[in-house]
Amino acid sequence: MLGLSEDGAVRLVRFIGVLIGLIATWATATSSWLSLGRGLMLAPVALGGCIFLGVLAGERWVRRPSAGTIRTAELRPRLLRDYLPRPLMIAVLASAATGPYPGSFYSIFLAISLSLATMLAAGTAVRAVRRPHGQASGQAGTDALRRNSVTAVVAGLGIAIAAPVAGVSATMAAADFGTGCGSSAHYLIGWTATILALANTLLGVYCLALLITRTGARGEVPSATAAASTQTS
Amino acid sequence: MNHGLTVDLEDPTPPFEQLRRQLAELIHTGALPPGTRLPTVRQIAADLALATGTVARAYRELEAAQLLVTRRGGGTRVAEHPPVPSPEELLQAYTTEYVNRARRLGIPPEAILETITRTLSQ
Repeated sequence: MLGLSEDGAVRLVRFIGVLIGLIATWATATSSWLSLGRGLMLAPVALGGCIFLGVLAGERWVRRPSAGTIRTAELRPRLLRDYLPRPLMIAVLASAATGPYPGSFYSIFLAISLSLATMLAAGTAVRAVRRPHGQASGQAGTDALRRNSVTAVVAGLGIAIAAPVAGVSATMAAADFGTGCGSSAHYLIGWTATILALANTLLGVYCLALLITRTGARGEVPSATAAASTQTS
Repeated sequence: MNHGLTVDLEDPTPPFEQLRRQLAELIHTGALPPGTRLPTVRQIAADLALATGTVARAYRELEAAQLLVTRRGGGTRVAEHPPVPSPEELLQAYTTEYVNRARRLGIPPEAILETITRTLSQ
């Protein structure tokens, strides 16, 4: 592709995915038929969806199996759980499980779009794990690339989930403290929402930073390579 | 476990038979111990860019030979007590493999036999 190496082409496709995601984010946030903040709430989901599509395009069309008459296959079952960044995945699941309920006007849209995004994320991650050995050097290199792609997917899912939860929690906290009731229940709800907003903002920023810095789709990711070689030995 | 399977598309032996032989040998030599979980048919087929039916046939034949066991939800594993082939059976398998390889190199039958005789006398 354009004279690029396989890794370079994958990085380019992912970058295009993020760029399209940013445009989709802006379009969703400013959409006239997603009124009263629903567009803003769904914008991170649109970004996450485009990140998944970028990763999927890289895995599906850019990384091709080595051509030739002599082909090799590994005898180790490749399972998605072996490639998941577990602490991040737990944080994302916790974010999804603890988010406040903002009412059906918002929640139905959010639930539908997040369900679709999660299905796309799962399909992309499975594709990354199942894809055959590409042009990367050695089994450890291929495993590092698979781990990289799955990390990018989980980071995208983290953005899609944590950003709306942070926004809803922050709005809830502001509304709660703004009523000026002063009861202990209000304080408790207000502070809980504030903590959730901060935690999910941190998670979203971390996922974004991870997406930019750690998932460059390079074959040699020291920690991942080491982990992969430990697993195969 | 760091074993792999190789398929040579220029080899006249059908790909399913190449897979069956390699897996049987890995099991017989203990390289794949009893209970070892094997990849799914789809994973091997994708890695080798072969049809899933080709890999499934190799698995089926190994199941029929009681070398593999497939359980719903448990995947395919090496049988706990795979039948141990007799030395004669192993010798026949190795000889067939040797003859096939020699034929692929275009070596005439007399030369194949002569090589065996020479090797035996060494």
